[in-house]
Parts: sequence; structure tokens; C-alpha cells
Amino acid sequence: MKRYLHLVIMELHRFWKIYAALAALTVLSQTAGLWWSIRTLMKRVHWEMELTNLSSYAEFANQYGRISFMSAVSIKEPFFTGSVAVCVTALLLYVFLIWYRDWYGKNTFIYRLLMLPGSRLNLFWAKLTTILLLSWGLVALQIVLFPPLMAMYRHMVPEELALDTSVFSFVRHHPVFDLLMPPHAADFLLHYWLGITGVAVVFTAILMERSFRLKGLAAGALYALVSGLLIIGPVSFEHVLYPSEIFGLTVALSVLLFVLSVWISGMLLKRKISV
Amino acid sequence: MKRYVISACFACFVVLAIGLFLGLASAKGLPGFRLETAAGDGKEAEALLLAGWYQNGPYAERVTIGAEGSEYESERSGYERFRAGSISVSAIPELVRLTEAYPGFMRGRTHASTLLDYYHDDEWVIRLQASLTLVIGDRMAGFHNFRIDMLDKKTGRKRSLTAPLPDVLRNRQAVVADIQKIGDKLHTALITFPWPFNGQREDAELRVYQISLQDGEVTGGEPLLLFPGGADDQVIRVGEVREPDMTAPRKYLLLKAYAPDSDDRILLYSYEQGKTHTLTLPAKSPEFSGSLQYYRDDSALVRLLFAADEIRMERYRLPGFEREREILLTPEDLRAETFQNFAWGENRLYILHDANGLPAVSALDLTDGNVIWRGVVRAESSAGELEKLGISHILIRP
Repeated sequence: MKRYLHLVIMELHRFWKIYAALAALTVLSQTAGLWWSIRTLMKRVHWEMELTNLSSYAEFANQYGRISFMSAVSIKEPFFTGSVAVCVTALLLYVFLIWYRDWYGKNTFIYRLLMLPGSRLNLFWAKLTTILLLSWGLVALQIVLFPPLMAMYRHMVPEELALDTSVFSFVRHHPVFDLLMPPHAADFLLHYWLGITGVAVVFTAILMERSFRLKGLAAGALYALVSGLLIIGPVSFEHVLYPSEIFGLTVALSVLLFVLSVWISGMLLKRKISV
Repeated sequence: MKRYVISACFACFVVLAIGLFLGLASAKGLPGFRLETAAGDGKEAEALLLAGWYQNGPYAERVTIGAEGSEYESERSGYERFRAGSISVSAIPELVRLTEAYPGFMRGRTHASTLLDYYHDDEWVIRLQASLTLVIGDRMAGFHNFRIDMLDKKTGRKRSLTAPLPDVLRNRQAVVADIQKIGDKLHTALITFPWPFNGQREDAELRVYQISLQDGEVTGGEPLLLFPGGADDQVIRVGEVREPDMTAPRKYLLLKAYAPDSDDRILLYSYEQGKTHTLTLPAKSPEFSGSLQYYRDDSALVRLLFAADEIRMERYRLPGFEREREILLTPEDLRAETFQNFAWGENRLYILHDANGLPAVSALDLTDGNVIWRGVVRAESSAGELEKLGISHILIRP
């Protein structure tokens, strides 16, 4: 356990500069995007009020409706979903880099890692935990970022024009945030369980490639493809299976794939991997 | 050491933020509503769900309200949303009931179709699937048969048989209107239309086949002209009269025909006697802005004219169509401002209206037209939430 924790901390430390940059990008992009969109909206409001001789925000709200946080976000949507997309892409790339940098870094770091005492499977668990922690870290950042963004919205939009909403309602109605941080605990666990399973499958494919090179690459790609088909497969039997059966089958197959990936990875790390 | 502390702090931050987010999301739900009985037997409320929306800031949240509370679509879990959108979950209450009771038998066949019908009594669940490929001119192709699947409810045994149609429906399309088990025969009513449909009333035919459930022998099927005697260029719409349970055993088949600028016609076919009976009723007048609907069970036909300011119901006894009574209701009778919508239940008409500014429902017994139950929607937290609530229609639970 101690060795596993050491490895996790080491892996986190190795990514912290890029991670800090991603976090900064998220905060700056979303704050600037919201500020800019509210300024644009308020300019339009003032211009419209001047044009139609409306003397108060209340009259404007009666005639044209209020400005919600959602509408403010959607005006400069790329500042929000764009920053999220950059973070997701970076983490997806890091799923590969977290292994390959050990082979192709300045020093052949994998040599030292494989020489560590204890089970080599700790390497697998540590890298998997790191990816999960990094993903959840960005989700946590987004969670703590929403209240100040909403406070900024309330500060910049006059009370007569503002349309209050909760963070949860906003997230539920936003397709990207609802996917990445579903407010329903069961959905949250299911989304990230399927994500972890996917990462475990990719890790296994990487280890296949590292163990058998070209043949391993083909085997890994096939393994990932078959795993993907297995996970989405039950849905294609919707005409004969009931939803509870599809759901149960998907979860069971994901558990099976996860266990299989861990087992194959353990075998490869123990017996086949080479530097 | 510094790395360890930072990593521990990071992990704590992640757990706390996500834990707090999920915890608050489950605790801070949207306001709850409940359908409360104001008068009558509270069991009536259990049959109903009210569907509408709640204005949550910029979002119109879809909500259903029942006696046990309210449920918002946006607060459903992903699995519940998947279940609601799944093609293997029927939207028809009687098929939902059958699927829940006999999931094995209903597997893959949970939807109604124009060529699929169900029958359900104390002993049997029967499914009939008609394979009727369109035969145009002399081109003989495809299948012309009935596939029947039967489930003996007592023993749980399933049996299937295929029964070929004795005649080919040349240049005609067909829909299965109804199936009924009488003795050891399955009476199967088809309505056939010319292909391509030319809209002429004399072309719509009713064919009732008797299929032996022992050996699959098919008899009957003589075409019976539906609604003869109309103008050639009239477009007639023929359909079944609405009933509370389309799978229930019935003595009669009731069909209705609408045509523009023409009276409505109701045709009754008695399965046991093989006889028909027709009733002509005045169509909805152009001045009437409400809706006209028919409802039947095995004892009566009900004609309903529903408008915001008036409900008029006429009840006709079956099979002779003797007029039993007429009922007229105004909003004042229910202490309402206007009528908003309605839904049919088992021998019930549920009326959505307002009562002292609150969304309310009243249930009428179709036998005598008496209001036997009244319910109002109440907010579980602040009464002010009701101002943001709109109810659009009534759903009958499976």
C-alpha cells in the first residue's frame, strides 16, 4: 500500500506543471468568457433600451425577457466547453503518455520502476489512480468555480434582469457538464466506472504493445476494439432485452473487462514486459 | 514531505468538492408537489399522474405529480432516462401491465402495431401477429398468415401456431382492429383498405376470421362493407372507438367513421352473433371549438363534447344503442373557472381544471355522471411554488 501511494504521489508530481496550466486555463477562460458575454449582453440591452425608449431594466425584462446564467454562458460557449475540451483531450493523451514517457523520457525511467521491490501491478494501479484523481481534480475545480462565476453574473447583471438558477439546474441542462459531472450520484459513479474501465483497457493495450511490439500493437488494438464493442453491444439488443437487462449486462461486462484488463496487465508486467 | 502534503490536500479537495456537490444535489431538489384528495375515496388518486412543467428560472422542468409526490425529468438518473426512452418499454398502459406480469412472453413484442394485437383474460394471454404482404395485381408474393402465441397463465406453458389466410387481400392493405377469444376460436377483425388509398368509403371492409386455437384452421372472413352509401369523393377515416383496456375480453367490436361535412357513424359488430348495428350521431359543428371523443366499454358507448366552458356527455347502451342519459357540466358545477383537459379511465372521465387557483382534477363515474372524487395539487414546501407550476394533461397509470 505504501509503495502504491508513493507511486501515485510520484505520478501526480510528474504531471503537475501541465495540470496547473490546465486548471489556470479553465479558470481564466471561463471567467473571461462570462465577463465578456455579460458585457456584450448588457451593451445590447442598453442599445435596445435606447432604441425603444425603455427607461428601466424592469420594462426591458417585461418586453424581451431576462438574462439567465445559461444564456450568458451560451453566448461565449467555446470559452466554457472549449476549456473543458482542452482538459479532456490533455487527459486522454496523458493516458498514453503516462506509460510511454517511462520508456521514451530523458532516462529509461521504466527500468527503475520495474526494479522496485513489491508487485509490479502497483505501477498499473498507481497510474490508473492518477488518471482518475486528475480527472476528478478538474471536476472538483469546476464545482468550486461555478459559485464565483454565478456571483460574478449576479454582480454584473442588474437584479431586474437577472434570472437566478442553481448550479445543479445549470449542470443538469448543460449537455457537456451533465456528462462530466452528473449531479445524480449513481450517474456520477456509473460514468466514471465506465471511464476507469476504458482507461484500464487502454493501459492493457499499451502494455501489450510494450511487451510484443508490432504484434502487441495489433493485439492491443483488437482488444480495445472488442472491449468497446462489448460495452456498447447490449444496447443493440434493445429489441429483445429489457432496459434493466441491458443495464445489468453492461455493468457486468464492464466489471469483467476491468478484471480481465487488470489480470492481463499483471501478467504482462510480471512476465513479458521488457525495456 | 512537501509532495505528500500537497497530494493529500489535493485528494481531500477532490473528495470534499465532489462529495459536497453530489450531497447537495440530492438534498437540494426542485420543489415537491402532491395530488391530494379533497373529496371522495383517496384510491382514485392512485390511478392518476398529472403531467406539466415547473418554471425553474430559465428552465421549464417537466414534472409528473401523483398522490405520492412529484418527479422531475431532469432529476431522473441516467438509467431511468434510458428506460423511459427504450424501445422495449411500451407507452401503452395495458401493454406495460402485460410486460410487467409476463416479461418472458412479451419479450421483443412490447409495442402495439397495426398488425399486432393482444388479448388477455383470466386464463390466457394471446398475441396475434398478422403477416400481410401487399399483393398488387397478379404479383403474388410475401406471406398471408396469422402467427398466434398463447400463454396459459395457470401452467405458464406457451404455445404457438401459424394459420394461413384462406384468401389473398389483393390490392388491399389491412390493419388488425381487434382479437377476441370465444370458446376455442380466436376471432380476428381486420379492417382492409384499398391500396393506394382512394378515400372512398365503400372501399373500407371489415373481415372477421375465426381461427381455431386447436389446429389453426381459419374460417369466415367474408368482407363486410363498412359505412356504405356515402359520396364517392369523401375521405373517410375509420378507426376503433377508444376503450379503457384494448386487451380485455369484449363481446362487441366498435368502429367509428368520420368524414368532413358528414355525420359520425358508429358500427357495432357482435362477435357471438356475427351481426352488425349502426348508429349515426351528429358530427362536431364548425362553431364548436372543443373536442369530440367516443369511449366504450362492453355495456355502453359514451359521446363526449369537451370545451373549456362545457362538458356534454351522452351515453348509449350496447348493443342496441339505446340512449340512456345526457349529462351537462359547466365549470361552476366543479367550482372551477374553466375546464382544461380530460382523460379516460376505467369507467371514469378525469377532468383537469382549476379550483381556487390550484390545479385540480375531478373524476366522473361514466355510469351515472356523478362526480365521485376531487383532488387538488398542493406544494410540499411553499404555496408560492404553485404559481410557477403548469399542468398540461392527465396520465393514466399502468
